[in-house]
Amino acid sequence: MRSARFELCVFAAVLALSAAVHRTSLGGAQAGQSPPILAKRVASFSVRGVCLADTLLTLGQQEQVPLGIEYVDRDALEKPISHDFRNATIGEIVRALLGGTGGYTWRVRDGVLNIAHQSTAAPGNLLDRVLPDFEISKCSVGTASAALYFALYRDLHPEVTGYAGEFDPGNPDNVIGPLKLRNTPVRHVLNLLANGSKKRAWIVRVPPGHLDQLPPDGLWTIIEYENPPRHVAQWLLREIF
Amino acid sequence: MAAQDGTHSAATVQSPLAPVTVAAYGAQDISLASVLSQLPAALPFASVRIQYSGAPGSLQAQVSSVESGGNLVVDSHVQNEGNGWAGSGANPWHLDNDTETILFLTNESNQPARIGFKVTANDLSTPAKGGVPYYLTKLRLNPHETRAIDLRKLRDAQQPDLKKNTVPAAAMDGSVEWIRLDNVAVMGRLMTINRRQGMASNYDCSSCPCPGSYSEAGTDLSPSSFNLAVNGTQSISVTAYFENCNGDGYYEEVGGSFSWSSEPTGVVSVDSNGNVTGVAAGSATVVALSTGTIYVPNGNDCLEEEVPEGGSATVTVADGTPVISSINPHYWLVGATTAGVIISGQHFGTSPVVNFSDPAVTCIQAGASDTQITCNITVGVNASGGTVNVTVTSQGYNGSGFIAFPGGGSQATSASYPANKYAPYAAVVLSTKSQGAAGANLCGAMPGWARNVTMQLQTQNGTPVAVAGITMADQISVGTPNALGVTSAAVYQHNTDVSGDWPDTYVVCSTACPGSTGEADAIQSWTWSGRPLPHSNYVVYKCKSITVDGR
Repeated sequence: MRSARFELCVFAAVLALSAAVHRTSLGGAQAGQSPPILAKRVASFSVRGVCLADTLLTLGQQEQVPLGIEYVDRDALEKPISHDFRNATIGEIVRALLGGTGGYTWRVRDGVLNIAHQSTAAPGNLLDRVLPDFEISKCSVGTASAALYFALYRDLHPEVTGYAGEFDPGNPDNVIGPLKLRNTPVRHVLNLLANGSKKRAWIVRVPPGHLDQLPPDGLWTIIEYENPPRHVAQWLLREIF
Repeated sequence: MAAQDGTHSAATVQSPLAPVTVAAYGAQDISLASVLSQLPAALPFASVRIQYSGAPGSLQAQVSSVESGGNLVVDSHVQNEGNGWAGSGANPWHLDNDTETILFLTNESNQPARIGFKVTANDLSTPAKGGVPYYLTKLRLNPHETRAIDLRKLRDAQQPDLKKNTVPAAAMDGSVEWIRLDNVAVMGRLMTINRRQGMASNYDCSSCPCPGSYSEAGTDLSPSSFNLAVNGTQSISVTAYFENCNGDGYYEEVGGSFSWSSEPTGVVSVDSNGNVTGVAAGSATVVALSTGTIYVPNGNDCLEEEVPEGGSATVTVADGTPVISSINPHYWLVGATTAGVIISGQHFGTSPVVNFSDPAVTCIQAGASDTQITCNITVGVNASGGTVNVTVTSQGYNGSGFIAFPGGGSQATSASYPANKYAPYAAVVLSTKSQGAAGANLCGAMPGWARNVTMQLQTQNGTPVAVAGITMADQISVGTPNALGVTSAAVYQHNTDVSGDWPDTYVVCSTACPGSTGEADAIQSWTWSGRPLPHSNYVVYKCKSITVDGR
């Protein structure tokens, strides 16, 4: 008879990656050789009156490009923009969207288009924090995201004797893992979550300059690509500001 | 007896007689009895047509009609066709107990003949104001038809003409005038008969050699201005005006020979017979166009000149009473704006007003047409849940205000429809999907417990708020007791599905587990789409159980 005690996610260590082996391609001010994502040609991409954050997520959904957005300011969530692109590359579109806004940087890491800002390179960015050990069994992406949060929480607060809370496990059909990572930056784990068999995005849910703190309701949120794309800017605006 | 108003016509039969020879300067009587007796029924009247060789005018003839009683004979001189027939006439008529007056009209051509006709009775008032003409406007003769118009019947019928006039019932004398409206040969003869005196007289006065000429000035559409409801119909008749050589006027209802159109399109439709149907609210001009003819005498001929013929009428398609057929979605969240609510129906007008029985509900219109209003509906955060009546009030069309239906009378300008306000009240554990020890995924090296549940957003009376996309966020505050020594962590937002549900995982990790039997109690407060939920959950975390509100 099977034991009544069971694990929500079963451990299976199959992947071990080191931060040292991350392949990185630079964009924006540090742009270098175009990797495949930035060179991908887009037949048509149009937005009308949509803010920058939702525009990027719409582009990611349309082209199935995994995104990691670690900087959102009020303009990015509020200011409507309109663009029409025909036969342009992802790189050209991103450059058009971000190049003139000042301070944005973008690069492809772990197969994910990471969009950051000059200010996010500051010391203390928790996305750069290296977790000595992060292991999950095959589980939903929502559970994996929560597990990453708990791992970061434990790493930041080794003194805690326990914690209680709740989280959104997400769609049980969207699974990832197993993962067994050593000395891995949080951003890299998030990129792995975004660049699974199904593409998705992660986006920070704190205002600029607050990436050095872990709020109770989390530092990031996972955005599943849906059709039509789900616009999250209004919600983020309410949550962040 | 043939009908008098031209809407009925007698059957026309032509019966030729065998040719006869009339010697030079000779005379010959020809009896028509043998021909008339071959017909299946006795004829009240007939026309006689004589064709002869020789130069025009080389033969003269007279028709003598002898009544069967033998006490009345009517002699009528026969006119030559071509230059001898009467193309028009103005003749005296008289009616009394012994006297009848009948106008005979014979179409001598092979094509239909339209006839302008009017009767003027002597004015009986004191002082006399002049007679008022009475018009027949549908008088048409078939080829070779003879029509008898009995003035007594015409007077006694008291049927109003296009001017709403009748021949005065007491009238006994007056004149009757007629004129061809087409350039075809028509013979006319007015006969007055007094049987008691055995006396008859007849007239074939010809006043104008050419048909009446079309005159735009007097032509109009009737009714010339009217209101219609959507899908309502109105038949428009065109009455063309003709003048004879003396300037006397006649009217003729033209029928379907006009081409019909309306401007702007989409307000009414018009068929080929001038039947107008209201399509959508608004005003339109209905135009009837054809070609009229002006005749100018030129010797024995009449010169013809074509001129535009027609007129216009204005029609206003009235506002219907607004009707709301559906509202989608018809449930709106308290404290939220539901964008893109479609109110469907009809007769909303161009600037409808949307009101609600609850003043806490407002609509910002994002578009409106006669059949659809798009509302961004906001329900105030302090509004209570329940039914709210939606009222759409029409303000008419294109700024013209409300247009009453034909016939007038008051009518409603608004319609109501029920909708619902949902007031989210509580996040409730709908079902447990699984629970068990939380693995290292969530707790790392610490033992713990996790419970996967389905939560549902409900109103205070337990009704699911079945709206997708509501963002549910919560805050968990661990209080006392806290035997497990836990802190609050990891509270995430959720999004409701179409049932108002969302998956949720409660988790507790503690170094006190699995051995402790104590508990950590917490208050879980919620916001939905940024607004606080009235009900907070009471969460009890234990090493091997997690309950929410005791469930």
